[in-house]
Amino acid sequence: MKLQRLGSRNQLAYVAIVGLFVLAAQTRSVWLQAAACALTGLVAVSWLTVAFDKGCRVGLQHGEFVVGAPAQTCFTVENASSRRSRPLVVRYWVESARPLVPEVAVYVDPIAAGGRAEVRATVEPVARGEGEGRWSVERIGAFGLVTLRHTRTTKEQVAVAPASARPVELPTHGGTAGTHGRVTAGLEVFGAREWRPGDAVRHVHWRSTARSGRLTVLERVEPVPGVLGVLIVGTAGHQQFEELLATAAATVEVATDKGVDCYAWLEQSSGGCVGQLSRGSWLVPFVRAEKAAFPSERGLTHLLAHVGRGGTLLLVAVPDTLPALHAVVADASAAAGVTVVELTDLT
Amino acid sequence: MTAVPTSVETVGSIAGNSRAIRVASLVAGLAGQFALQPLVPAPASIAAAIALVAVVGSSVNQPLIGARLAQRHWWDWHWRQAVALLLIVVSSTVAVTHLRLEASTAEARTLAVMLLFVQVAHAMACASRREAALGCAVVVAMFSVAAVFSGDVTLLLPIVVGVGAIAVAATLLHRGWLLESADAVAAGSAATIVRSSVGPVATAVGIAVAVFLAMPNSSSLHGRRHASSFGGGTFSHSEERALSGLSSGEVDLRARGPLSNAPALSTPADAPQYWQGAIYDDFDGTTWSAARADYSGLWLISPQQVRAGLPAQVPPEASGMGGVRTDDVTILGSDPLEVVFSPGTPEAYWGDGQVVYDGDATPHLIYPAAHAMGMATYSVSSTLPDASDNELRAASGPDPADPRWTAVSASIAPRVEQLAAQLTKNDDDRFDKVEVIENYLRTNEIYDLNSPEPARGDDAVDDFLFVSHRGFCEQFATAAVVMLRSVGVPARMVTGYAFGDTLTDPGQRIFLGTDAHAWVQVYYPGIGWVDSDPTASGLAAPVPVAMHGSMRQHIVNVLSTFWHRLPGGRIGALLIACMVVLIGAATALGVGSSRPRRRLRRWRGRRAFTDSRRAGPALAGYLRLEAALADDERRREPGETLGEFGRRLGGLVATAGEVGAAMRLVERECYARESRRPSEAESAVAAEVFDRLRAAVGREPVTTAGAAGVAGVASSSNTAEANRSAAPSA
Repeated sequence: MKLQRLGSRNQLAYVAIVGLFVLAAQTRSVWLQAAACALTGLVAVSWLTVAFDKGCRVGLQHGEFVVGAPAQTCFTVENASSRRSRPLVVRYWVESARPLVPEVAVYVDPIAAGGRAEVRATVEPVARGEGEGRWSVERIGAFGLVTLRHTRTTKEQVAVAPASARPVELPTHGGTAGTHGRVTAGLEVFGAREWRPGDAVRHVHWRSTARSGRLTVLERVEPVPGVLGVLIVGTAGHQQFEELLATAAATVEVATDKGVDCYAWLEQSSGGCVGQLSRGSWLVPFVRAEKAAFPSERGLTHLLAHVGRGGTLLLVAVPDTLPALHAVVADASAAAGVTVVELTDLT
Repeated sequence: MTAVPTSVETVGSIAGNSRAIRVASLVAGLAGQFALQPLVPAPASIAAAIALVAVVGSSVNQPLIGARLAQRHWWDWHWRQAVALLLIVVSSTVAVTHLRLEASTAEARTLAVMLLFVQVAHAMACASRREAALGCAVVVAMFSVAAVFSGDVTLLLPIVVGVGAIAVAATLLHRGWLLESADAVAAGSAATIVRSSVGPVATAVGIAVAVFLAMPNSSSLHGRRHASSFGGGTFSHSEERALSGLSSGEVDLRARGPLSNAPALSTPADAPQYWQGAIYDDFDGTTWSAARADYSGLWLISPQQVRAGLPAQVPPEASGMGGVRTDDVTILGSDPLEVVFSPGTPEAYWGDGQVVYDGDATPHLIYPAAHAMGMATYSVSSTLPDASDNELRAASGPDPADPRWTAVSASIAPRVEQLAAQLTKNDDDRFDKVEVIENYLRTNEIYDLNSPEPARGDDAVDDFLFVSHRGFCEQFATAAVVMLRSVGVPARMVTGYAFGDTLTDPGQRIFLGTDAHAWVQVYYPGIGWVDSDPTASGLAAPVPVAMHGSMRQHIVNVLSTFWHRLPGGRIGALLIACMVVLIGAATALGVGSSRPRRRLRRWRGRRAFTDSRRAGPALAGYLRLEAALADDERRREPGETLGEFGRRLGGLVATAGEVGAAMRLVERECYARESRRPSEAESAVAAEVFDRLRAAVGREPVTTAGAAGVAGVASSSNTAEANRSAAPSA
């Protein structure tokens, strides 16, 4: 906890008091001395009211922060003391390298003893990223002359997700149960396609075959893209990159909901690593991508190994960097049997 | 962070806050006008107060915006702003052209009137918080002008009220800024903020008084820059010194200024009330002057001889007739005296210094160079005329040969002489002439320490008798002397101390600086110089008060008397201030029993229950229902509780559960703490239930107002079911 005393209004009052007393001594005017004493009384009372105030318990809750989406932040202030509280100003902001969430400030009038106040404020994050949540409580003394401020830090990092976007449909591999898809229970059919070598004869749908004149099989397995790998290259703040990142995040979210194994290259201070994205942590690389550079050859190989043969590698990069990136990734992916998909092609 | 409040709660809070700011500014403005009241004519003062109340009253519901006003072309200005600007320009022009650097009271009137114009004009155009703060600054300027030009003890009252109102306004202005700059608020009413400021303001006043009394040399502070007229009209900071002498040789009737409260002399309590010091003979129309001290008439004994215990100094000629008394006097001031103060004509003196007797019979005291005050006491024998009124009437004999005691200045206005002649035309003896002139002065002139100065070049007596009709002891005494001399009565003006305080120190009469006084001595042949005081109530009250004294003067007298009579003096005042601080601090910090607060809350709840204007939505709905049932047999019985009443009402239109819940909401609205009060939505539901019942009073069949909108009544049982299904849940 960090204690700060705001100085601007206080300093002005102190200077005025000293100046009045000096003037009174110079001119021996009783009215100047009375004015100085009056100001002294006001400042002293302002100090007393805030120094003897035991303060209130402040709680903070906020919803998920998504860029461009209003998020509600709920402040609860409880006065557990036996006296009416002082007016409060509670501020909440996220400290990070870039402004992510605008500072939100709420004002709370004095609360009766034992009372509680709940204030909801709406804030719209402006950029995705991760930062440290901080909030401060300012207690305002009588006449507003003295203010005491306490600053606290939230225990968890605050993440701002990329803006909501439409997910893109990744190319599917399809196939019968046991390969890349999710075998559904029951008689659900996801579509019909032409017979391919490897398909069982019993899966041929003869009616469709007779109608179309070509061997047709019904897909009873939800086509899924297989294992999905995500490679993000770009610099945060670039508008097109942010849009692509939002789309990729939405796509990965859908994929993880469907049970697809997702891996991503995560930039770290030590160089980077491959992380598996689960339903609870799929957002991490999309939030933390600040200045994602090309992965090293070893890192790329590591990622492709996780994706595995038949999987899909999703490249998230702005068109300017794609040619260079594709050149780096294409050979390695072909060798690993991984299909490379550029997100710009799908949007 | 958004800067524009969007929620209804925030907008409502800001509107209420703006109203409270305007009211607080109005109180401060009226206090400022009261402070300037001695400087402005009464009609202007009354008109300004009415105008300010009207302007603020008409704009009290307009919000005070925080942002800068949008840029407008000059032809887009609101008409009030245009009028306000015009008034400010005109009043400023008048003030600048009339004010002079050495501003005196007359010019201060112009400045005060200008401030009134500016204040009213500013109130007309006040539309933002910044302008409201500027209005408070105008009030501070008014207090400053009042302190400079008319500072007396009554100025404390408007300052206390004004500073308190300004403090509350500053609190509300700050709150308004916070309300507008916050993204969301949980705000109550501005009235709560104002009420919670009472304790801190009282505590601040107590602390201020305690600090003021604890400051060293508070008693030597003076209120205004001009020296007392007893100092000869010269600008001097050492008022006490000039005052203790009272004999610098001149008394300028144009000078104004308060006197010090410092003690000067201590005499026996049974000594006479009037102690003369300096005597003045020559008046030139504005200034009294005395003859120079004549060193050839030195009294016989030197200071060394006095300290050696040799006999007293005796004047060259004894000029008094009557009883002789000797008094021991203690000098309470720090400076040596310049004259010998005595209750009558001094006959002998034992004390420090050498007496130099001048032609006016003033006993001056001189000291050798580098004199250090030796004795703090002296003794003086005085001759006091002892004659009854009849003896004074019967006095006969030659008057003093010296013509100066009947000399009248050539500059005296003819109408002054005509007035004196007219007043005394029916009186033959001197005593009656003196009496009729003094009665005229007491009846027709007003005692006012802040009387206006005569214009330059005007005769002070003429101005006092025919123009201002206001003055203090000097004006009264001068007018009496001039008028008596004009009808041939030898008279002179005397300055010294009068009345004093015999209560603080029993057995002693203490004269303070404020007891300095001027009166008249009239020569009666065969008797001598007899004291006569034309100042109204000069012999009765410790502080002279005119019979037609203003209300403000009466307040001055009461407060001055209170200040001088405080038990324990300054220490007592300090203790009282400490008690005020403690009480105020306890109030501000909320320390103390909660029982009074509970009682107050219950009382407020009872008031809210009976006063529909203070009711919330639920209570208002209940009161409407009660009014509708006033003539109905189903009305609430005396002593019946709300719960019992609700159970009786439940049935067809609203179920017992609904009515019971609504009644409980009414109780919570009236008696519960703020945190347990029902929300607006809950109160609205309860009000809807009561309105339904009210609508059903006297009507058959009943249409329920539920969501399903069931119409008509088929049977009681069906209707009850329909009502249950249609009624919205509470």
